[in-house]
Amino acid sequence: MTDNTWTDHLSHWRTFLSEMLITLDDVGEQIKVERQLKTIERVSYAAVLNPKVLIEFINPTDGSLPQAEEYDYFLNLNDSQKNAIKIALGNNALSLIQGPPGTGKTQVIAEICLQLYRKNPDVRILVCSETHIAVNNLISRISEYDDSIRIVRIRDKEQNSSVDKFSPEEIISTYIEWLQINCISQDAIDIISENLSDHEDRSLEKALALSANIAGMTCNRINAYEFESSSEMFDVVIIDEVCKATLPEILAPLTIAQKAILVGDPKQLPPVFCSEEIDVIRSIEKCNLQNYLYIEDLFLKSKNVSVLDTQYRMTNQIGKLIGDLFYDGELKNGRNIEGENSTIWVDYTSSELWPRYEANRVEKPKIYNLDECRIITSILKELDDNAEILTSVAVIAPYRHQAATLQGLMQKEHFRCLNVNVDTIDGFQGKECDIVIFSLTRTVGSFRFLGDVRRLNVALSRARDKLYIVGDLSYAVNHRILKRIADYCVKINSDTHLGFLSRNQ
Amino acid sequence: MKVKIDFSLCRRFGVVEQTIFRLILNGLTNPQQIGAFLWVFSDEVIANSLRKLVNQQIIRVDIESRKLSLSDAVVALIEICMHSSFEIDIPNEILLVTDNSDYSIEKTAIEARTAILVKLLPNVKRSFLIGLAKCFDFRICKGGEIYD
Repeated sequence: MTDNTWTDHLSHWRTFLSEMLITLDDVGEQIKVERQLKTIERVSYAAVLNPKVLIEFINPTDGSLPQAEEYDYFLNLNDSQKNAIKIALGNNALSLIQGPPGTGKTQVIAEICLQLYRKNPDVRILVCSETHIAVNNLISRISEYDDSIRIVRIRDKEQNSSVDKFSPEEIISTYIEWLQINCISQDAIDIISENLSDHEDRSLEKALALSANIAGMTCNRINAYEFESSSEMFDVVIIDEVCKATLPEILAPLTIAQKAILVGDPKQLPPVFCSEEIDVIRSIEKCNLQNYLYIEDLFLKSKNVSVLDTQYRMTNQIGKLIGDLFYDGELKNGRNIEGENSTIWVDYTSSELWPRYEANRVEKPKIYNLDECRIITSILKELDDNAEILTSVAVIAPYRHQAATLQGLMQKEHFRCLNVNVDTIDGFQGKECDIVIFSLTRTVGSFRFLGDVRRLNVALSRARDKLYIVGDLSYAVNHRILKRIADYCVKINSDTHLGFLSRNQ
Repeated sequence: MKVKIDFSLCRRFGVVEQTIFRLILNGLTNPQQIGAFLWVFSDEVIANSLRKLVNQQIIRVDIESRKLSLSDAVVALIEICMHSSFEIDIPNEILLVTDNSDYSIEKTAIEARTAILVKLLPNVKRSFLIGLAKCFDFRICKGGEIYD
């Protein structure tokens, strides 16, 4: 990337955030944006704790070779995972790991943390992501392997029971209990208890984060603390789901990192701007924030990129579809379960055009499809009737209103064996289920949102065992990728004639 | 009006510095013991906090005996705050605002805090007191009933 492109991009972010600040009413959001602006300023003056990480982020140099060192691995890993770990643990300031769906990103991150801890029991690692759920997944996985690692999870808003014990509140409460039993000086107990009683005190959170081997928090939370000197730097910062994070979110952890490892998949969903944000972007001259993603560029240009090439989530049939459509056939199947009839297109003739045309409507149309809602309900009932064990099912749709309509319907249903979760595709990124039912929703109009290649990748790659695509084929075949999916369903199910299931309205 | 002055470590010091300061104030002088009590924080975090307090001349380290103690300036400040009271004119406007309770001098101009320190420690160099003023918040307490 040329200096100008980077400077312009950073400048667009600065202008965008400044404009957003004027439009926001919510105090919490204002504080978040103000902090992001501060990070942008710091980065633009290279006022970060280790400029090497930033320089490598802006101008990737030739990659360093992976460490020749052979590691004694804690976990079962394939060759591509081992290679990613070697590059990440090498002497480069910044490395990237591309992890397609189900390829064991979390496993790789856990192994990196365990290796770093074994090498240095005082190591300081910051694991972060743009969502609380992703951070909790990481913390929960890492904590399974070694209970001597000091872990702290800062400001968990998900109330995830598996990581609750790592909250400052729990840590301090256990510590005070210990003090009361083991400390003979009541004065000291009183002083310490009183000083550490405010669990949301930022200086307490910061001190605990810097005292831990692994601190977990969201990227935005980092901006709440002042890390003043290199003695307050993290040895390694790992950002998960990096392609889903915005540039200011990525930059926050980089400002306090001795070394950074970015993990994500540029072929899955990027950050999404809400309509108010899009209006602000459009009001800024030559602003490219909607079209240009710096992190995608970095994955292309950096020499320190490793790719995880084997997926363990999906049956071979689903895995091959994902590999062929989105990864040039380079994605291997590691689960080795063929999964007959595991990808099925459910075709139907729509009773009317969806979204409905409403002549007097001023706002954007609400996109939902009652035909597909009915079909999905009947598929779920059939699945429930035939299920013998508890099965997780995700019903996902590209559009918020369709997801909400389906959610409303599911509340009225009672399933014996199915645990049904309804969400948008964007909301379901990073999660997986035994069975996924993907509602295309539209039967007319633009493919711009529904047909986005990254959104389709996420939609199709969540299912472990079975994937249903519910859509009006006469509409879908007009889109290149959707047509390929339909063709694939016919091909793999030709023996059983299950390529298309037709549902009559 | 007769007042007494009290002080505390200002809020730019985090909980670890505040705790260590209070432990030393309470007579705990062995850094290893302090570290052992505060094991919930890493050695590096505790060392950084000690460094910050030493650099700001709030505490000092006796290398030979490996003991921590309050700096001379802080000891002098405690002495004067404990044993002296001062006659000052507090404008009615301030008295009304403070509702007859203590008047806190936090986040105020460094000049105000330096002026208090100059009054409390008249024999100490002003340049030194400016540095110290950045470390403390003050409370003016009416008549002395609060601190007694």
